[in-house]
Parts: sequence; C-alpha cells; structure tokens
Amino acid sequence: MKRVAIMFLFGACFVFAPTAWCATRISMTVEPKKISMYDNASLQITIESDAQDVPEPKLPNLVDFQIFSAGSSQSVQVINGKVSSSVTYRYALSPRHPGRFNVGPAVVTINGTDYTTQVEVVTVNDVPANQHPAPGHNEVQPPPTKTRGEHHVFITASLDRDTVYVNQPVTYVFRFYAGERLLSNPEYNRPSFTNFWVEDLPPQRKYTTTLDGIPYDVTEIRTALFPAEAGVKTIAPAEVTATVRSQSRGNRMNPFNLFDDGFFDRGEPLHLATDALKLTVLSPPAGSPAPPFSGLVGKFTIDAKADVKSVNVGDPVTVHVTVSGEGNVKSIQRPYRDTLPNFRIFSGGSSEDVSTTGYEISGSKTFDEVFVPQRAGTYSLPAFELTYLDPQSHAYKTIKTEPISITVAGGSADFTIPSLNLHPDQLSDIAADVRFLKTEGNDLRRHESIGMLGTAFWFGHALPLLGLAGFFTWRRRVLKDTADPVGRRRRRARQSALRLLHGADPKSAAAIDYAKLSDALLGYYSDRYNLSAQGLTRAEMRARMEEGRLSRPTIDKYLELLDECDRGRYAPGGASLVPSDVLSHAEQVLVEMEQTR
Amino acid sequence: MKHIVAILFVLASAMAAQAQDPRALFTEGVSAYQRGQFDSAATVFARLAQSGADDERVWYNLGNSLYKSGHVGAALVAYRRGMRLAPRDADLSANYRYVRLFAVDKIEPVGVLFLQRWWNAAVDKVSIFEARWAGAFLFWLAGAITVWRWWPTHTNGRWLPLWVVGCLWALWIMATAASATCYARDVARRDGFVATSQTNVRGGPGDEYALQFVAHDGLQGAVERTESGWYLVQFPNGLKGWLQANSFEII
Repeated sequence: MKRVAIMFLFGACFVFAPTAWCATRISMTVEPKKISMYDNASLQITIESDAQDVPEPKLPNLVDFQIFSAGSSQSVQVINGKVSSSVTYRYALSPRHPGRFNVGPAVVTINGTDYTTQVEVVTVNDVPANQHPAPGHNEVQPPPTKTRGEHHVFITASLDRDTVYVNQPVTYVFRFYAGERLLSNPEYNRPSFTNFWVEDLPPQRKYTTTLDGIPYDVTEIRTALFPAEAGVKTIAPAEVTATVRSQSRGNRMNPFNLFDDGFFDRGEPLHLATDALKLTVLSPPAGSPAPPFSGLVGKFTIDAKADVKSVNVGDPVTVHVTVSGEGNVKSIQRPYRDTLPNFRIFSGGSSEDVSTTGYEISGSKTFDEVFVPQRAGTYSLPAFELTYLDPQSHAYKTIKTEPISITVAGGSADFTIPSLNLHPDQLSDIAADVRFLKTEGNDLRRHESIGMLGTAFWFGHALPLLGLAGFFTWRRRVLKDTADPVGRRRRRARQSALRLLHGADPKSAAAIDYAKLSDALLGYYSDRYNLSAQGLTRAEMRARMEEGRLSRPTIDKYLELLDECDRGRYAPGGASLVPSDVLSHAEQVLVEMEQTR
Repeated sequence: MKHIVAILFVLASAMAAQAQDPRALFTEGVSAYQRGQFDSAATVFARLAQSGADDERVWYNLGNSLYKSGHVGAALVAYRRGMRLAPRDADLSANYRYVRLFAVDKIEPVGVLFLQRWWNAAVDKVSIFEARWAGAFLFWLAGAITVWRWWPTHTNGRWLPLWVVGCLWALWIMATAASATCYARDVARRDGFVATSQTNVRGGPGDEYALQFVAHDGLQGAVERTESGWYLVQFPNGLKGWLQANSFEII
C-alpha cells in the first residue's frame, strides 16, 4: 500500500509538472500617480512566464482615460535549458476629466488560468493652463514636428526663466521625445554650461505624452544653473545620438525586399541637437543694506539656538546658527554678528544639508559659534544677520536671529577648550589668547640688503662652478702630460725655447748672453726630437732634422745661429750679427721650425 | 577704519624719514600694548618696521597689536613676515596658528601629494637665508673635497669613499632645492590675507563684474595678477576671483 502511494505521488508529479512549472507573474505600474489634466500617465503591464505563448492582457475598463498603445517589448531568457520570457506592454493614459480613479486590474489568461494585477489609484488635478507644471512656465512646448524624415524622435531644451540675477538658480530642462521604438539607448551630451555653477536635479523623469495623436515616451532631465556673472549668456545646444529603425522599412510593398524585416534591421543613427538658449543675467541691484550683501539669491530664513542658557565663567556656549531656504544654499557664508565684550568667540565648523526634492535646490547650512564668557553676569548674545536678494521683489532683505539671553555664574576662568568642530591636531592650538609681547628690543636687526637673494647669490654659485669645471679640465691635461712625457716635451719645446730666449734678451744693444741663446736653441732641438743635443755634431743634427722634413734653408739658418752663438761665446767680437738681430733671427727660425712640425 | 591696515603698513614716508631710535620706538610700542592701547601699539610697531627694523620681534609684536585691535588678516601678515626671519620661533608659530582660528572663512585647501606636503613642512622650518647659507657652505665644502680628492699630482684624498662626495653633492642639491622653494614662498609667490572685515570677490577687475562670493578677514590667498587696483587672487581651495587691492595685504 505504501509502495502504491509513493508511485501515485511520483506519477502525479509528472502529470502536473508542466502546469506547476509554468510559473506566471503579472504586474502593473502606473507612473506618475498624480497628474494634471495636461499630463499623461504611463501604464506598464509586465508578464513574466515560461509559457510558450503569452497573450496580450485585457485592460480594465478605463472610461476616464483615453488609452494609447505605446508598444511592447519582449525579452527571452534561456537558463539551464529552461525558456522564460517577459513581455511588457506600455500604454499612455490621457485623462478626460479631473478626479481620483482606479486603474486595474488587468487580466491575462494563460493555459486557462487568469492572472490579475493589483489596482492602482491615479489622481488627476485640474491645474489651470498657466500653472501647468510640465513643461513649466516660460518653457517652450515642443513642436510636434519630426526632426528627421519620418522619425518620431526629437529633443527640446528650455529654461524655466529667461531673466535671472547672478547666483539665482535657473532650471535647464532637457526632454527627449521618442514616438517610436529605438534600437539603442540614446546618448545624451549635455551642453557645457560655461559661466554657470551646475547642480544636477535627479531623478530623471519619464512619462508619456500625446502630440498630434502620437504617443511619445518622454525622458526629462533637469539641471540647476547658477549664473556666475551678469550679461546675456548663451547656453550651447544639447545633443543626442540614437539609433532608430531604417526609413526603408516603410516600403512594405516592395516584393524584392525579402529580408526587409525588423529582425534584420540594424537601424540608422540619428543625431539630434536642440537650439541654443539665451539667458539674461542681471547684476544685483545697487544699494545693499548693512550687513553687506552675502551673495545669496532666493528666499532664506535664519535661526539660532544655544546649547545651554546658563553656564559658569570659562564654560563654552555653542550657538548653532542655521540659514535655510531656496537658492544657492552651498554658497551660504557665515552670517554677520557683532562683537561681544567679556566673551571670547570662536568660529566652529559648519555643515550643510542640500536637497533637490521637487527639482528645486533648497536646504540649510548650520554654523557653530562658540562663546566663552570671561565674567559673570547676564548677557544677550548678539544677533546673527544676513542680507540676501529676493528675486521676486527685486529687493535686498536682511534676516536676523533673535538675541539669546544667557546667564553666566561666577567661577574661575580656566578657559577649558571649547567644543569647536576642529581637527584634533588643532586642539592644542586653542589657547586662551595670543602669547604675550616680546619686550626685549635692544638689538633689533636692520633690514638687510639681501644681495644673497638675487644675482649676487647665483653669481657666487656660478663662479666656483666654473672654477670646478676649470679644475677638471686642468686635471685632465695634467694626467695626459703625465702619461705622455715625450709628447709633453714636444708640445712645450717652442714655449721653453722662447722663455730661454727672452732670458737672453740684451740689456743693451751691445751685449747678449750667447750661452742662454745657445741653450734655448739646443733645448728646442732636444725637446722636439727627444734627444740630448749635447755631444751631437752639426752633421748628426742636420741629418736628424732632415728626417724630420725640415726645409734645408731653415736647417741652414738654425745651424748658422748655433755657430753664431759659439762665435759670440768663445770669440768675443767675432760675431757677425748685431745682438738684436741674433735674437730676431732665433725667433724667426723657431717659428719656421714650428710650422713644419 | 576700513583702510586702517593699509595705512599702518604704508605709513607716510615723512614719518619714516624722521626715524627715531629703534629701541625707543620698540619700548614705546610695548608700553602702549601693556596699557591696552592696541591701535597705538600697532601704529608704533608699523612705524618701526617701516623705518627699516626687520626683526622678528617687531613683526611678532605688530601681529599681536593688530590682532588685539581686531585685524585678523593684517595680524596674520605680520606673523608671516616674522616667520620668514625666524621660522622656528615657537611664539610666532603659536600665535599665527591661534589667530588663524579667527579667520571667518573655513575653506578646505586643495590636497597635495604627501611628498610635497612633507617637503613644504620641512622647508617651512628654515628661512631663505639659512637655506642659502647652507647651500653655499655645502657647495664650497663639496667643491673643496672634490678638488682635494681628485688633485692630479697626489693621491692623498683617494681614501675618501666616492659615496661621501656623492652625499655632499646630494645635500647641496637638496639645499639648493630648499632655497628655490623658500624663494618661491617668500619672494616669487605673492601670498597674502584678506585684511578687511569682508570684501566682494568678483569675476573681473571692477565693480561692474559679477559678485562671486564674499571673502572675510583672514582668508589666505595668492595674488596671481594685478590690474588697475585689483588683484586676481587664488584661494587655497582653488577658487579664483578679483578683489580690490586695498582689501588684501601681501606678505
């Protein structure tokens, strides 16, 4: 019996499995749920099922709306051999009259089973046309023209104001209208907002609208701009690139277009650009009251709260000053306050809370001010003031906090570190006061002419650097000479000879040191040929010089000079040349010999 | 009152010409300060500085006097001038850091690489004179040792390892780099502070340009350009704007 029961259960699994596994889910969304008479709501029904054939859902009876089909999309997944599909049907609901309406349930029947969605409630407001929130006041309603050929895709850009003050926010609204299926995600290139501080206003808004009877899916991106300077500013065009179905697909009657089907259509790129926008930015009006204009433009309030109202001398009272409102919240500066005798006042940290709810920049910024009383008594902490520009009334407005009364009880002023919102390494810096004066001034330094800072310093560096370079040049030469003494003698032969010749220079035209002259000439010979000239005969010297390719006249002159020296030394009065001629001859001979080196 | 700081810093040259004994002026300034006459003390110390006394004690006392008379930005300028001369003076550093807390605008400086931060912190501890003297000394020392070691006619210096000479030259390069950094900090870069209670920072050099934001007393910046009585100032957080030259005191 037990075995029969198990077999029955096993068989039942097989019988009912297809139905049990045929999981189906249906869901419905309506966005937005609050619309005006001039808006459309987007109804989206998604059916997820692993059934082979998913029929279109039956829509509820929506007599209060006009319904336009906005197409469908299907995605199929195959995971571990199991096929499941998800089909999304989109509709645009255009209200016929204001009120609160139930939308749903939608029903789909799969394999004989009805699947129903939940019911959504949509509220339709009767908003006058001049308060129409989208596209908004001063915003340009897009023309229902097609941007290119027959494509129902276009973009628009608009500003919610055409004249603003410097620092007053203006909302840039970009809209992408798609009245047909796109084959790729559109790529949005935001314009470069030169001369503006930019703040994104998320989230993107998606809705459906009908233009000339064609339903469009609209994607709306908002950006807050804060003009930084006055003048007429131009905002460059925004651009979008999208891929749409090819135009040729329209020719259904062409019998030769066998493969002209959406499945084979790779689409064609579509480049769209908006017009450039002009914005007039005004300077703040003249005549700012005290305290001076803070640069804020919008609508702001100010509030101050003290953490304690009763303290001892030296104990800190922290006042949190909060400026909140709509406008350039991030630019809020610390409000002005008067000084307060008998208190040390420290500026603490600040925090900000910026919100973009409702596509408006709003929020608050809180500043901490720490008051440390030095004497007992009852005090009124000064009011914090701030002047901003109200763009609606085109006038400056000054807001201020209420004075805060505190009571300070007597006690020793030990100046404990107040609870400033400071980095820990700054805490040690918080003393009670600046350190005291330096009273010793007998040896004050005068202002120095600091040539060290300029040319003199660098000259002082450059000169030794040149010296160092010179040293290494000289060192290289010395090492070279050390390594090649013969070459060194040869290179210096003429120099040494001339030095000796000048030593033989006569004091008077009548006298000459022939011995020195002879030494110079023989020394040159020895240095040049690396031979000792002593003991050589004239013939040996001639032979050597001829080997050295000296010309015969030069050799003759050289040997004649040596003979002249011998005559001058050993036979005074026998010299044939006057002393000054001897020397000039000697120099000339050396020059000639040097030239044939 | 708005331009009192500028007046203090640029006192009439006639007064400077009639310069009194610096010691007497110093004592007069100290007495005024001790009596609580901080404006008078500031005037006396400014005269002293104007007359050529370039001593960190004068700048320190001037900074104290200006701070006590409510001029945060001008006090910071005076302290920084003193710190150029005595960068390791604990009193100057302490008062400078203390008075900075009273600067209204707390802005986050643009981050720098840790190496640059480390280098700047190290160089802040030396004055330009010290860096240059150290550079000059190391240059001569390294040069002399190099010549001695490589003198061609003797080998006495050869025992000295090459790395010692290399280190000396490396130290010289560091000292020269420190000099250059000090030069950029003290001379080339025109750092300064907003020295009025508040001033409008505009998009161009004139009142007709758009107001960008309001800067307050004690906000630090660096002057990039000057044009007809206006400074183009870059602030530590990277923002730039034009402000009137008489509202900004260059160190």
